[in-house]
Amino acid sequence: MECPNCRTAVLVNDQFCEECGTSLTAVGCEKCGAQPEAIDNEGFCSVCGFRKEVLERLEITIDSRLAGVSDRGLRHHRNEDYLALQTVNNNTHILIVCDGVSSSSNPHIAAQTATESASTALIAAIKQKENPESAIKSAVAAALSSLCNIPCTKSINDEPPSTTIVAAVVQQNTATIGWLGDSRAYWISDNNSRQLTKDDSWLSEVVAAGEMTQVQAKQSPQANAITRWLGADAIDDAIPSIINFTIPSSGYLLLCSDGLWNYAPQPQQLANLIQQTSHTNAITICRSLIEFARHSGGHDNITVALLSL
Amino acid sequence: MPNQFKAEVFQNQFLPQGAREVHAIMTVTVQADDSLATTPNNSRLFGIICDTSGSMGGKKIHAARDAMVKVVNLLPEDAYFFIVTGASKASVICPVSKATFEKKTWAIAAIKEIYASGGTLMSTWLNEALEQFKKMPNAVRQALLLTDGQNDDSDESKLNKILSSCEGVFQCDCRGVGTDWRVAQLQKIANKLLGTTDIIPNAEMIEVDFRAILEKAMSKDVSDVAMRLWTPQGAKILFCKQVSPDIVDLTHRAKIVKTQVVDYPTGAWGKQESRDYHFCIEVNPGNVGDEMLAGRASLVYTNNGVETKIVEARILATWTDDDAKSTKIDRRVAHYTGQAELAQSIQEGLEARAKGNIEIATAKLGKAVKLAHESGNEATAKLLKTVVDIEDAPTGTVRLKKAVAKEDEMALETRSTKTTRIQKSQS
Repeated sequence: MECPNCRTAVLVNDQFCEECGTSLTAVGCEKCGAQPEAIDNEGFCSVCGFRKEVLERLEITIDSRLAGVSDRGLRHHRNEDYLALQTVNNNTHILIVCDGVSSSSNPHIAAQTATESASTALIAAIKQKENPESAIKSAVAAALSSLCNIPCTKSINDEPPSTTIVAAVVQQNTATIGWLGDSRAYWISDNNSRQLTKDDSWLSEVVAAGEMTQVQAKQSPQANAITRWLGADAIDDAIPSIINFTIPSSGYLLLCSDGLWNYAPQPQQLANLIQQTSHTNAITICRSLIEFARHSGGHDNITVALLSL
Repeated sequence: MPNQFKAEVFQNQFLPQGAREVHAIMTVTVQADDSLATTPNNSRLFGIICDTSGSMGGKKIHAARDAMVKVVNLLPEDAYFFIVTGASKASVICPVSKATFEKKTWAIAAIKEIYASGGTLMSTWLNEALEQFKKMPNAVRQALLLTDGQNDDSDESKLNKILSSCEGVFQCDCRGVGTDWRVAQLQKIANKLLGTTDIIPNAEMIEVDFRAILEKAMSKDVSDVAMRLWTPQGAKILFCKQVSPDIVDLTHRAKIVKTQVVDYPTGAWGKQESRDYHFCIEVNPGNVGDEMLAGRASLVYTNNGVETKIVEARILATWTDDDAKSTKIDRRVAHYTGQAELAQSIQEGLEARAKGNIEIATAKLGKAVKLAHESGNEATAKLLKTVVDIEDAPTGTVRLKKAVAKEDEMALETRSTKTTRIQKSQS
């Protein structure tokens, strides 16, 4: 186990973290020191009112080649990203990253629900020997239907739970990638790094249409607006874009949310970052990418999934 | 509980770094549950308190008698009632009785014997009413007080004292007939006893008004409801106001229940009723990313000494460095902030006008016209027209009217706290 404050490894029976001194016995309120009984079911302290900070970080390690991390970042009060990884039949790898749309209601639940149901559906489809493209499409459809079933109070002001999604299936030397929204997939290799997905965003649409330059578009308040997503209010536009990518050499398939790529949008920047880590272990690379985003400001939730090929 | 209470909180929970003030509007709505029997499980006691001082003589006392007879006839048979008349001293002309045919006949005969004479010592009237209400402590207890004049100055301290005794024992709507009564005086009684104040300009209109009051009173079936507010340690409640259907500042009515918990009285609640409350809480600011429960508001009612929580809602605060989130003002909070400003502008405008300060009066009432126009408060806009000539409502350009009927000015003064709800088209 690790220290909830500084993540140094600690032993089960330790009373305090040797590194930072945080008490490891059942803590109540970190703000006012109230007893654990003072914390209500939703984490609010009944004395000072502050919510116990939840360190939302999810790490998944399948093996030394496939791993991922989702981190709350520094500025958001919760993690609204989610990820899933799996290796099926020893030869097929599945990677999914979702980023809940923060203007919708319960985006954290949306991201988790979509990720989990897409993952379950994708694994089942691959086991049924469905081809990767149709497997991704049916997984996205399954994710949408569970999003529509999230109980939420319908109000005029609230958008239904919504999320972006990027899902990859890697079989032999082909990566099939499907997406909705602006969570991205990159191919990272020594001399041949590239972005595989095209953002469904206002910015990329006006730039592609030649209406504005990248620099002009970035000045706009709409710069971060996405044009496609997964949610009950976008049922008619929920077929993911698909790309089949032939893996040219050894390298990395990287899926990430905008919490990472906002700080390193160019494939070469990401390639440099990975090179600098001088590690080859997937989880270590993921952690260092998360660290990079946190050091750059950590303004959004950060999620990274990496397959070494 | 025969009715379903529903509470919703509207707020922008996002605050910029260092901010301490949390605003929230809580809407409480009662939805009648038709699946249950329509008979209320609480008995209802309605008291009529009628001024019979000398000034009531002639047309007014005739109209008051007729109106009281009508009200007595309209009382449902399962309700209870009493009648107190008052001048320099009070008489119980009909003690607490069930509204049976016989008792009504008896009460009507007594009403017909009423005549007007003597002075005005309202403390004695309220004292008699209080004794009657004490007989049925578990009923829904409401009264109606009708007067046409001012309370005798010598009665001031006695009135204050008796009001404190009456507080929490019964609710009282106050009506002033004609224009010789004082708005502030009746408002003091009505506010303390959680009732409304209004003007009945002509004696002929008493009957219609009485019927409306009775109807509203008979619809109430949950008594003694308190708004209970929990706030975090170190927090300060800057204000707690009812803001719809009218503005009632409850801030200073807080009763401490225990550390961090206070109760505000809200009186009785009826079927299909809906009220809005505005809370403003000052909290210890958190760091960016911190989330806080800034308040927990609930309605609690007490019956036979047993407290029941009816409904609860949470007021949150989250500190962010995202200006796009923290600079937004919830439109309901903005709306009611405007309505409070509207009421205040009218009060200040009328005060300045009474003092002959034309410049300030014009500015204040002009601002009121603008605010009423912007918020779609047509009732108040219409009342303002009786006091000022409006040149341009959107900019609040007005001229004070030279001659204003006293009744129009009093109507504006008493009704200035009536608010309008946020318009549907905006939602």
